[in-house]
Amino acid sequence: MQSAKEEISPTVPIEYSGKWIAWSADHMRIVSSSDSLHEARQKAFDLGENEPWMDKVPHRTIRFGGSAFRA
Amino acid sequence: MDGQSASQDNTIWWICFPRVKFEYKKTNVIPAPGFESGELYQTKIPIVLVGPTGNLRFEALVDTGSDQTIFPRTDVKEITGIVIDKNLKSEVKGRLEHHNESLYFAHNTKLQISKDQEIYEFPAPIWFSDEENSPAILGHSGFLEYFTITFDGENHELTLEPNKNFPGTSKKLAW
Repeated sequence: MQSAKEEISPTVPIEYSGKWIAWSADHMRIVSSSDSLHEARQKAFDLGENEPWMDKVPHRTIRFGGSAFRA
Repeated sequence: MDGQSASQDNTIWWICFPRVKFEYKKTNVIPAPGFESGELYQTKIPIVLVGPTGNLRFEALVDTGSDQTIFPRTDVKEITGIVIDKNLKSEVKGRLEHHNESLYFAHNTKLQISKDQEIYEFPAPIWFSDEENSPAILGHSGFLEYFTITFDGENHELTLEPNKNFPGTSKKLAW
């Protein structure tokens, strides 16, 4: 049985540059945003989204480099 | 596909590990060399941090450049009940020497990936950071070591397939 073509999450608009955002449970809508992870999550809860997906949006001009770890 | 099954309520449990596919996450950025279209793609997947009292959901970056799996510490204890051991501390440095942050370890942590009706849950060593300048990171320890991953740059999608080191379970919901 083939499944229906899945919907792809929308592109994150540039206005959310560098912010934490909360996606809806189905990944199709940005419910809230903030500079702080806690605040973005709390806003989502307050708006009735109990299972938000928290996402750190890339900055509009600053790119993310690789990381190295030393234990 | 090899496996065995047993029925339980409306769930059929399979001991076999099919692949799951995720689209890269797309963000609009200021156009620049390498990003002339103003579109930035990142290899992020939805992942659940599973705790004794609750879960936290993240879009986490699958990062082959990271040795460890790192999550932000914010709200972890309050929502998941995961207790972070402040005595077990480590240090991470980025490409620049002056970037230095402390990480803290939590025991008995688990991660969960789900896509369509496929759910993977597995124990994973996770470090926690007070920094909020990066997304949750899925690195070699606790994540990449358990999967064979294909990064398809043309179609902007990645495919995960648990390997023989995968320490968790796969569940397929069927009704």
